[in-house]
Amino acid sequence: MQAVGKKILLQNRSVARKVNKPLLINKHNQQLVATEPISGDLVGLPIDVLYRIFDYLDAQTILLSLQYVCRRLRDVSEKYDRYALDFENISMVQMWHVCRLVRPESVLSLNLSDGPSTPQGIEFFLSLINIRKFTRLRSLSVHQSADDIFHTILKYVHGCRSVESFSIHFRRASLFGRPDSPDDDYHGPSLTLLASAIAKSNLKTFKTNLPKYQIDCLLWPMNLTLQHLTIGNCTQKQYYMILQRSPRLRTLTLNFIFINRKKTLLFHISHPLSSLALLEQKSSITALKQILSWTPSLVTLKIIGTQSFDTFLLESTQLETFLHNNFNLLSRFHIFIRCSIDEQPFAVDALMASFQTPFWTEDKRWFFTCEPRLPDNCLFYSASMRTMAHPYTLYIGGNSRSNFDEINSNAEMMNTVGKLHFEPTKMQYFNSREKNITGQSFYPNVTILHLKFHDNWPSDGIEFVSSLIDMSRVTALELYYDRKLDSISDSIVHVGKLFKQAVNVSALVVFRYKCLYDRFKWEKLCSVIPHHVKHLSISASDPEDMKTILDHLKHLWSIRFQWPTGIISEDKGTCSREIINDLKMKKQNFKYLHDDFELQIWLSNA
Amino acid sequence: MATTTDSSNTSATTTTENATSKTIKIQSNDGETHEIDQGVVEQSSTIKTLSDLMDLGDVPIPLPNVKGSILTPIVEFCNYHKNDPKPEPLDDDDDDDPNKDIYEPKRSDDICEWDQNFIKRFTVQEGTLFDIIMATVGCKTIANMVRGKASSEVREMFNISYDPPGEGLNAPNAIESQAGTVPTTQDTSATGPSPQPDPMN
Repeated sequence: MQAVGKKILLQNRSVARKVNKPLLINKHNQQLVATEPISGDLVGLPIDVLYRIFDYLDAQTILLSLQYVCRRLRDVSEKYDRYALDFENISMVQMWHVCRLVRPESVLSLNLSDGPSTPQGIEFFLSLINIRKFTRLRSLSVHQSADDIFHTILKYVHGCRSVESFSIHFRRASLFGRPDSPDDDYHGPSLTLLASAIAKSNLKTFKTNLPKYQIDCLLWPMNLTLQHLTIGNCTQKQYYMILQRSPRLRTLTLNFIFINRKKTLLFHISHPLSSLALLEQKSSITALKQILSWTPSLVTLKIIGTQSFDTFLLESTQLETFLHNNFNLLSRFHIFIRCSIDEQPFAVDALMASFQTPFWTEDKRWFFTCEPRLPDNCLFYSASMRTMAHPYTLYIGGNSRSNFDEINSNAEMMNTVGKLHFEPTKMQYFNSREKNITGQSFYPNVTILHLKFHDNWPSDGIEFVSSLIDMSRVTALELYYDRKLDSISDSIVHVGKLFKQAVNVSALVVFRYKCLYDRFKWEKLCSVIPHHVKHLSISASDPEDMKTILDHLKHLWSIRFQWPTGIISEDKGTCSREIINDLKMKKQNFKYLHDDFELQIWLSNA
Repeated sequence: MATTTDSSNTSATTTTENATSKTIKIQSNDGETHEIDQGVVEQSSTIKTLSDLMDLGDVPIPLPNVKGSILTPIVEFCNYHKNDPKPEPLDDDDDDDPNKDIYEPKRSDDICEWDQNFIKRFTVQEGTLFDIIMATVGCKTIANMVRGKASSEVREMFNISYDPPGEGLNAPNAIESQAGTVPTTQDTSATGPSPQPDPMN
């Protein structure tokens, strides 16, 4: 095999063939692009092998492409009965075709969304297909829907015995309220109907974002079948009730448990829960001791949260004893704590000393890193922590400490970063000698890149970004323009260069401060946005700017105009109406949602 | 000419400690023989069934549909992966990843580095990729190759010819005739998309 750069020639070992036919292959072998016709008996593969290939494909590829390749693939796609329909980021045209072509009884999984990429998507779906025909559906996921739509879906869940996994996330309608304030109003069904659907169903998995003040109504219908539960948050008492009423529950995920340290709990239970995840816990681990002791069979414990460094330092000395004495089966302990630092210098060595004992490094082989984010906080995390779902901000200027080989732990951490934040202009502080020594990207698995433009880009900006991440793996790019930026034009030129490497980006977010509005050149930005970008989210308030963007980017599937702060509601409404009327005048097919935050438009561009 | 290969030479260093001492021999259709241990046997339902049914002692189990040039890398692949954790069944009660939906589409972007290097040795044009496609990594690789591609690109990529003129479902006229008409909705603020034959094209 010859490898020249990224172009790899796969040697043809057939004597009869004289010409090697190259495949372009990226670093991770995720995409192969034939540069010449190649022969192979794809259509001659056994049906079960083709089924396995289909298992890894989206329904659009199977139904809208493969079945048109030849009669054989058409026949297989018609017989295939394990379709997973994901309508969260689909184009309106593709959804229409998929719903027309798919046999509902061949679908096992369905993901419906009214999210920003598909506003009114659930209503459109229900207008195309009768959900009751999905007789073999095992997993149903619904995001952000309105009352009447929920009613239809909950009636289906109520009556369909095949559904084992149900996920329902309500849209938060409060304009300026805090997410966890009881004053917030969640759009959604009457909770009684939801509770009734859960009680009558055959669910093993249920996920929702309901917070504590809405959880009580769901406690009574919890039944013996429920094994996996995800909720928003709950009180200590509600947590106890969930365990008490769900004896078969094995995994429980919630953002946080409200801990009232002034109130002594008189409850006790020993529940066989095997996995507990707290994703936004703000209290100390010590405060959780009592409720954690209710689940002595935990195999996996994940805690993500915030607390003061001093508190965490203190409890780190007790953590080993607590885990050792209470959780014999615990094999995975994942932690990611953002600690606030009140005093300098902070005792990072003392903290890490608590995790250097044989219990951590030899018995459990749990490894941790403490990463200073001076001057006011630090991160403490498991080397094995999955950070794919959590943004990681690149920080340059502090020495991290680990309880094992730092190079390996850092490498492992870097591999798990899926979303990376950084300011390109700070790159000059980075030790350039460390750049790309191995030819590998520092963060090879980043798929979401968030760039903040604070100052102008340095001359080697593109080279630096390429050394940090594999741009070909990035699917979402977020650009934040700071109010102090001097040259917007220069930054747009750099973005254009970046897009030449970021060939798989389908979602673009552009945020700018209001003071930049007059200086921002939308035409120039639109000219560098490639056709593979299908979803655009952008801060805009001028109808003419918005029309310019819509006129220039005819390839978009969806666009989301976010209102900047300081715009009054009346102006937002006027602006929305002007854009909608303009689209209607052009006889364009579209769907939209608008509120005090944004105007979302789902376009029918192919 | 029959050759015998000691497959343990090709196994990964990390995968040998759990192998049992029991070994069997398998033979390709061109006479190439491999001695494999139980860890490898367990990964092939065909070989496992044959070895359970046939007690041939030192006589190799014949695999009439497999060439030696394909059997060698398959044995190598199985040797490398023989100590991998077993995949969880669909309804596994012990699934402890609460964020994983067992019915969601399978990931194909998790091909490990060893598998990536392994698959690079096989080409589509000479058919070897299809010969080893029974391995999961082959299915993932094919899925990655065709994902998001138009039917014409897939045809071009795999050199698939059109069905007979006028008869095939991939004839351009046939595609257009299946594209349907503009959908209608009741909502005046939102109508359906324009018709698009073969929307991936």
